[in-house]
Amino acid sequence: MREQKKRCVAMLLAGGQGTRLGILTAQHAKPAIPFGGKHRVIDFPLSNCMHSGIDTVGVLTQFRPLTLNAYIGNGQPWDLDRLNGGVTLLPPYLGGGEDDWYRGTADAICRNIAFLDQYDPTYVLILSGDHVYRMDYSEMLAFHCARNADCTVAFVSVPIGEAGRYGILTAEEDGRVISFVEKPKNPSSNLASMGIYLFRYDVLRRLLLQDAAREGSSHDFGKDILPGMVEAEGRLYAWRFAGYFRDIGTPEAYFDANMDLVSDEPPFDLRDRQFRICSRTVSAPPHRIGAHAQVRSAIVTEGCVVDGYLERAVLSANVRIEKGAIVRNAVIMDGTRIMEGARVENCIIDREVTIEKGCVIGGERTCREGLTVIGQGVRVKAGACIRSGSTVSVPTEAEGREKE
Amino acid sequence: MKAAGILFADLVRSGLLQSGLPEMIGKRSMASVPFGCRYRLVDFSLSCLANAGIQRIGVAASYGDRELMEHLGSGKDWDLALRAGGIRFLPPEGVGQAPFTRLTLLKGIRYAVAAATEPLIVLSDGDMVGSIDLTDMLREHQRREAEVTVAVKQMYLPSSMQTARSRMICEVEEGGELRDMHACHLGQGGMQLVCMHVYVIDRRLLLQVIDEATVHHLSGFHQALMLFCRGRHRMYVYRYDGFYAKIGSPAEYFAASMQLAQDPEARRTLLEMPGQPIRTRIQNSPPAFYRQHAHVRASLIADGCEIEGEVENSILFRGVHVGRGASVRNSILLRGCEVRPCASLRCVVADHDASVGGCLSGAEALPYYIGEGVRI
Repeated sequence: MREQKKRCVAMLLAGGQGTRLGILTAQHAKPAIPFGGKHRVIDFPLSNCMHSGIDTVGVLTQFRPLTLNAYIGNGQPWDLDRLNGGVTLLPPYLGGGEDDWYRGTADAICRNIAFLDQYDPTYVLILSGDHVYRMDYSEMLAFHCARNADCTVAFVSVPIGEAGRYGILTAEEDGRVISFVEKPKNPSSNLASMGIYLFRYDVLRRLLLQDAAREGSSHDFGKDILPGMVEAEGRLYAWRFAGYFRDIGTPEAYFDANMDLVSDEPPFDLRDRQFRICSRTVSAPPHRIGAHAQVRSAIVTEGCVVDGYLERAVLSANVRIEKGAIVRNAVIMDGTRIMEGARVENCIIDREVTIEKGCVIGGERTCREGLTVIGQGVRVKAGACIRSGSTVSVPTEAEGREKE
Repeated sequence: MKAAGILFADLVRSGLLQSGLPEMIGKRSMASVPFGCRYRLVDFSLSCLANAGIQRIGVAASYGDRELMEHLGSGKDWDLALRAGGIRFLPPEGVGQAPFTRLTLLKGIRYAVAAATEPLIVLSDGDMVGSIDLTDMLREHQRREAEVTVAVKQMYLPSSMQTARSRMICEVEEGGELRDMHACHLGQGGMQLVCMHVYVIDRRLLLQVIDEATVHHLSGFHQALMLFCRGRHRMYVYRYDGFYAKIGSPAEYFAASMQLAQDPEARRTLLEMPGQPIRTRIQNSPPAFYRQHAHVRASLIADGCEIEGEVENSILFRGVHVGRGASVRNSILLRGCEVRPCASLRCVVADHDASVGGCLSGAEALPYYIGEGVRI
């Protein structure tokens, strides 16, 4: 079926395993992780598309896709339930010539050339599903057109110490990229690629097919396609993004990005009415703050019942904090219950966890390693103590005393 | 057996009940009055119907109620944006202008009852606050081979209360058969079975009732039911035990709201029944944000709120902003209200987008009402 021609189609890479997040991605793909109370990380690129006038999005899935598939559904929360275009889930399939899992980001797009061809797009925007940011892609597209670029890479400045986690580029004054190295050991600059690439489709199509045929390629945009373009002196440009941007690839980065939201002057405001971050919401009653509660510097959402002490915390839906419980510096995901008198500090607590009466979880976080992570469905028995910096993922019960 | 639903959306304004919340329904019907922190009254009856798998729902409304139409939209937030069914507005035809009763509305939408293919019709007031398991009520209706089933709630009616007189009381045989249904007369207080104005009725019988009532010039639906069906058709009651409110005055609005905020049992039986979620229009508000100096107790807070001051025993709808040093007690603030820094509110009901500074105080029996968009 020939679809109506689209100016720009977005391809969202959401199949990565997210191994650096450890047990937080044991059950779900990284893009399906809750963020900031009501959102999932994938809400950010999808909402950005919605506000940038992009109505055709292919979502490439591979790793543990069930939660993600159910969450995206027909794309209705992001106005992507369309007659022409809309959201399409693109898992790897047999019979397309390459009968295998996606071997890299470029391979994933290359194997879906048939999908892109349907829309005959002028531009293709490559996005990833593990970043927190708010961006109007049409500004990037305007830059791309003004430079008559073949490909534009969005970048931000990062602390030089963290530069090794990103693709690092150097560019001339007009934005022309003169070098691009993926995750360098010795970064030559602090200009980090956001993993957002805007291509002219004819160029992308040619590059992908060339790369697919090349021996020894890892079929990755950052490692193969972009450095190849620099080498061939292609029209590769870099566009600076000035807004808030966080990669939430590690538990610490994920935790810090959540804590940004509850600081006194949040650097990232989810409350902008003109640029709403949309999500598929569960239908839960309004949250209730009990008679014994104290809540400050916190984000709380529907279905929660809070009767304890809460400071610098982000709660997802249906969390219960009982009387006398103390929760400080914590990210607590859907359906978790913290019972009377428990004390939770510097923690990420995954979905459906029960912390029984009088437990002490985590503690001072003096260094980056002091973060405690409790995995999905764990039940911590009454009176247990889990030391700061531990990770608990036994899905039944953690006998805390043994941990001491 | 399949059933279709009909909601009476704007009875109060049409004069059947005394105008209960004169200020609040200046521009909206009773069905679209905001209630319970994030809902409108229509959400309860609509969710009950949707949760029972009823997919064809008519909303009998005599005029264009903008807020109600915006709220219901295509019906997709109740999973009712369907090609085969969904939500339809049913304007009454050939019965003149308001005031309407349930019966005149039914006469006016007889076309829809006649055209329906479902053998059963569920009728409900659009401002019924409750979470009735209609699946169970329909099952009971069929098990008893009933032709009419009326939902009732056992509750205490104070004999002196004026509003008690507007309640309909059901008298019941031991097997649950309905013997009589009549208005509560003075002095008839105490525990009573009160009609919730939710009925399951055989569609053909409903048509007959409408036609009989027309030729006999009857004016009320209860009157028609009693005159035409009593002794001739099988009428039963269905007991409902959860939270129920029928709001008829500002004091009742205030009391029902506060009960929902403070009483865990009310919250559980109305909002947290498994398999019976109360759905409302989704607005993608961000979660509520409590700032450093927030001090909140015993309150219901909706998403989108931002709180820098003190809030106690109150209900804050979506997007309310409480400024630093402000104090809000025993108050209900509707969507988008702003409480400016250092303001003090006691027993206030503020409508959408009001902005309040200074000190304001009402009483629980007569809350101080601030109109939509008013700046004080």
